[in-house]
Amino acid sequence: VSAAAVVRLDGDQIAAARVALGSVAQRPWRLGGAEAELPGTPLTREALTPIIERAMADAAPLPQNGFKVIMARNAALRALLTAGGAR
Amino acid sequence: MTATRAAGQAMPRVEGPLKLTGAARYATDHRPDGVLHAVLVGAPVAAGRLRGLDVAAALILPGVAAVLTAADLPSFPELPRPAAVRVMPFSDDRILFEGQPVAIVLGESIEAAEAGRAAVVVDCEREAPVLLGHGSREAAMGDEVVFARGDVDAALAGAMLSDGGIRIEQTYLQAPRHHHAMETSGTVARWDGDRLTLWDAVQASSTVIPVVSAAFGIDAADVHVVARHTGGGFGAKGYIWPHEILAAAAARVAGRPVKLHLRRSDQFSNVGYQPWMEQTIRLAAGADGVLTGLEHEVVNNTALADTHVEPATEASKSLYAVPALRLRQLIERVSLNVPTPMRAPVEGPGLWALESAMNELADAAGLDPLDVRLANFAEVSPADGRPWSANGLREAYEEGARRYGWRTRYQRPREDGPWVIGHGMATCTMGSFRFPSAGRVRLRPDGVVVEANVHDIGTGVQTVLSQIAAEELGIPPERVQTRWGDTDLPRTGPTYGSSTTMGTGSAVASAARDVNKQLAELGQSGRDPFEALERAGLDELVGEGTFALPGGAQFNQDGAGTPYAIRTWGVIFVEVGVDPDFGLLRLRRAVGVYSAGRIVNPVTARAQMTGGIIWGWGKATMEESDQDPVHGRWLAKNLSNVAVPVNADIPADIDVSFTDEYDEAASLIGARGIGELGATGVDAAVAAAVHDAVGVRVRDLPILPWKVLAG
Repeated sequence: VSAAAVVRLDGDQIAAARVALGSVAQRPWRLGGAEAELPGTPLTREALTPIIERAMADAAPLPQNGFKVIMARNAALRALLTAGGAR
Repeated sequence: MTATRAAGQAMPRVEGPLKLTGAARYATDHRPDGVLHAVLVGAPVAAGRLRGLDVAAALILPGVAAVLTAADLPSFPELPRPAAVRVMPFSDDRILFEGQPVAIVLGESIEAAEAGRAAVVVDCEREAPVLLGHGSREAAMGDEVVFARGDVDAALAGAMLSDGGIRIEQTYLQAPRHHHAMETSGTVARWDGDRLTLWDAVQASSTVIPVVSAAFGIDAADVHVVARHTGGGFGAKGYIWPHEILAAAAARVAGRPVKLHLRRSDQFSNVGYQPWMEQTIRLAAGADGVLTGLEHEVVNNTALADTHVEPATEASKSLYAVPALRLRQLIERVSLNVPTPMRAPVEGPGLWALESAMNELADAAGLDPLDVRLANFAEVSPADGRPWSANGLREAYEEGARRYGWRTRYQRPREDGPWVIGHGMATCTMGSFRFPSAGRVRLRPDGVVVEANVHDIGTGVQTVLSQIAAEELGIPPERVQTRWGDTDLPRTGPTYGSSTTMGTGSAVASAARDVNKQLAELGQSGRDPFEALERAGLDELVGEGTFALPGGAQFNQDGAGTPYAIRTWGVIFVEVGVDPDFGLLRLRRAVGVYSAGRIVNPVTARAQMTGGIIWGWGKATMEESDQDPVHGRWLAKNLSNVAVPVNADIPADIDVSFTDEYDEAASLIGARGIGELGATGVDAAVAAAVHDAVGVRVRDLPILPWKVLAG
């Protein structure tokens, strides 16, 4: 899997963000629900995790690739943190 | 005589320019006049019966010379060892694995033969294949228990009752994996009347002769095998496989030379692989980590008809001092072609289980894994109590720990960016496989020629033989040339089993000493040998040498029948980075220290051990040949779907060294074997490092990201 993110910060908080996953479907997969929740969220792993996990709740893996959901969640988190300069 | 110490010095490989310039000719680079190209048509199902073949569409294609089926081929007798299979394909209509040869297409070009193959219609009755893990199990060698000493059950029970006693019981799995040599296997066959010449991609051409002569009922003296450069083998070219005999059979039927070079996809089913293995270790130890009992049970898959036993229990039989020991070997029969030894066989798989369990013991006891090894060091052979011929394992542990900084590992940072750093170690060990060998040394005015039927498989054997002859004769190694790779030359042991330097190296040293002896008899000792030859008025002086085994045996394992037990040892330490978000692994550095007798060439030896460590990393983290769960065939049959280490996976910091030894019990030149040793233990060390980093214990190789995430 892969993930890409664009983050605009307002101090320590996210002002606006876009985040999409690659290699999880036939097209890039935008996490629209998460994007709506992200403004006002501190740019920390702890604060972002529940938002991204909610965005992954509808993921429907096949019997032998459930690990991809974990990877995709972590990739989205890593992309947001990296884009925002948190790591 | 000038005191020259040619051996023991670093010397670049003499065959380097041949390979760099493309002058090295591999088996299927040979194109005898009138050669036909052969390709095998494989069964499309993994189990069933061959009902019929329709070859009409193939025969009308331009350039297709013939399509051979069972009716066209001779009936072959049961093959003797070391054939990899007992019964040749084409012997009956049963299909036992996908890709089993059912026809041979002969073409004027490889393209024509391939087109013909695509046009052959194979009609099969399909049955359900037997999948890995679902086959019937049986004792591998008569009795399920292959070795027992002391009361293992009492030791295991006692560990539960005693204060601080520890019991570990775990099962360790490893996936099947193919050798993937760069050069696939292939044979060019030409008959001249009843005389057969084979240009063959093999690791032991002298053993081709008895098998092929038996297959055709011809005199062994009428079979000649040329095998100079072999493009890697790793065991896949060790035994004799059906395609070698089929090439010769096709040539005989066609009345023309035939080249049969397996395509990469053919390689998966027509030669072997390292089997799927399930190993269970039950060990008991005191709170001090000292072993009181050990049981090691091994199951490896084999074919429905042919049998390969992977004797991985040898690791537990021969490494640690343990009073109670019980070893079991089983096989499981499934619808796949027969497996075969692969670098590293025997102790390679065995140490994955044993050393993983030892690391789990250390964690359970709260001890350093290195201290647990030291506490169980075997002063004499645990198998039979004989003293070791030489054993530098404790020195290797100490030197390896020093080079790695093992004792201070937790004083260094545990993270590097997203990477969590883990440390792991394992003991390495291999048995000593020795084979009788002969060698010849010709002293001529313009130089020395060494003759021995070894194969250049990339390990640098010509270089090492040159050094050995040069040392004995007291001349620079540049004055020595090697003639190799032809069964007309003195017979040597095989190019497998880490055996060549011991066997052929000793034979060549012995032949050089014969030259020195003859010079002395001519009253010419103590001079430069070329000057001595001239003074004696000779154009050539020929020395013959042999390396013989106790009782004139054709094979000797671990010095059996001698006062000393002969084995090799080492230790591997690895630093692994784990990205816990994705389960990714990175090898950051490795330290290996080995006890393997005298090292004849530090450059080629280091290259072999480095290659072994990289090979081990591939086994630990990447390599897996899957069986299709529906069709029973090998799932990926090309290199693009096979993960193996590439340069980007491997750090520059791989530190290899050897303990200083001279083992005169192992060989005339003080050497033991090294080729397989470096690949042992790496998998267990990597698994321990992953656990050290993120607390996930993976007991199922390869350690893929999903397994780390699942932990």
